[in-house]
Amino acid sequence: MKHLQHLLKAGIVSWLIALGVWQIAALMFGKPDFLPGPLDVFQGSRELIADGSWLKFVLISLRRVLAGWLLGSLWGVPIGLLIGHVKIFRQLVEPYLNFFRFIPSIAFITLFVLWFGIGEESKLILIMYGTSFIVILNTAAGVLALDEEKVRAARSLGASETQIFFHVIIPATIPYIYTGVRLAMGNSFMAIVGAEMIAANEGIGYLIWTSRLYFKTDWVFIGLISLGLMGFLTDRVIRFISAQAFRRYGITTETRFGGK
Amino acid sequence: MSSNLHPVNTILIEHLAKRFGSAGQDTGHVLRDINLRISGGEFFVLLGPSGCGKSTLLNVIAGFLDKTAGSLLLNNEPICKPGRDRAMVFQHPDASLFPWLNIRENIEFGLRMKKVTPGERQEISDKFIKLVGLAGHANKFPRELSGGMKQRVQLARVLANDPAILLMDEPFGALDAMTRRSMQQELVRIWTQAKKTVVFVTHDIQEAILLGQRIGVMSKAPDATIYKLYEVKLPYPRDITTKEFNDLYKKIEANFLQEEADIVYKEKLIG
Repeated sequence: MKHLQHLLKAGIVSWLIALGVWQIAALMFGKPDFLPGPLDVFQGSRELIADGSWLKFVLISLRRVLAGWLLGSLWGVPIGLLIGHVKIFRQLVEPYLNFFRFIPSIAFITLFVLWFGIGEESKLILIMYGTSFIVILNTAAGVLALDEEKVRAARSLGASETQIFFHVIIPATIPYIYTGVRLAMGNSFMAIVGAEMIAANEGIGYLIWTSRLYFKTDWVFIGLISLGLMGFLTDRVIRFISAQAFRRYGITTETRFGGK
Repeated sequence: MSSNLHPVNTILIEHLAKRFGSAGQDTGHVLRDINLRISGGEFFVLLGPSGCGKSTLLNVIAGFLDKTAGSLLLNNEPICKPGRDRAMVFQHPDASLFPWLNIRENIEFGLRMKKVTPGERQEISDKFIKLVGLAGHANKFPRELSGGMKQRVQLARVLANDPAILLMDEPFGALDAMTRRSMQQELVRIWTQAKKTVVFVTHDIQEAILLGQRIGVMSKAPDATIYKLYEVKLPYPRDITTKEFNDLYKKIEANFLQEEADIVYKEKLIG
């Protein structure tokens, strides 16, 4: 019983059930080109892994996601802090934010390819665009959610305005920044897959798109599974590192669906 | 008045008024014509019903809010912004403590802002951690403490910064009755040791008599003012079961009820 609870908690039972249902469904259809089962996908993956293209594509997509996400976060955080802290800047920028937040990054692919070419640049900028919005909005929301009493307390304890910014506002906003960058990671995957489907000849998005043309449906599944695993693992890494580095700000690895 | 009063650290308030909203739209005065002199080292209690404007007055003294008219002096200097000479103990410790700092770091915050050396900081924070009875909890975080202990942290945090004036905004209002009683005793003990001027806001008559050397009773907003001052001559620590305590309690309570009746009467006249 205790073992079962352990397996349930680790999600292993859920995955075994999913694999079983999937295999049964595939057998019932009997058309691997339409719905390959887990065994077909496993066969297909051996080819892809053997010739090295799977690892290459995973690393290429991962590199694009991480670079764009990192750059987008790096400039999203200070802008978010500024928007939250400086009222006139917030009033100035808010109309843009409320306009562009409804344009998903994928919608910009054609334009960015036109402007920045078909190479890495356009993809990086696309991910930065998708990332920075969420980071900016969450960071600004964090600054605005700050208890006025914390600022007052700091002020009457003798803190200057600069000290309040660095010793009160930034630390109080860290949990919001953390939520922002975690959500942004999900968006980065969305953006990169879109970009690689339309304008790339490498990467997981490219794999999914071209496999369809060759009726290698099992490879489409490999692409999808790879994306899920990549997202899962990067999120785990972010959570682990954050919990180590920012424990005192109330960030722990104990999370369910991104909440506390 | 008792002998530990000093002419220094005296707060002098004359004809002070406070109005919210911009000049164009007159929303009426919250405070009107407040006159008060609080001497150095005095324990002064502002007593009034909820929403009467006593916290507003406290926030004006702290410098968090601007006054609309009148004068407000500390040691003959006008008060116009917050400063480390006036420390505030807020009602809700969760809103005012820094959750990312442990107890010691919270208490050392003011010293760190002043760039006191770590060694000296530790010495001072040790002293105040002991004074408020938090020894052994220095490395815990606020979320690990009870409500009463968090208020002790707030108290130590302001005392470590060595302010002249302690402003306390219903600091024990959210505590359970037992904890509140022990915190009140602690505060009297700390006040007699630290010799600070205290301005303490409460709506609890018993708490006011238990703590204050003088009690200023405030009427309800709008146009709230201090309409009655009581001097409490009972010796510390005070005993709520004595006849003198009870007599004063009845007197102040009667005062409140009268004020309430007056308002109802006025409203009837207008209506």
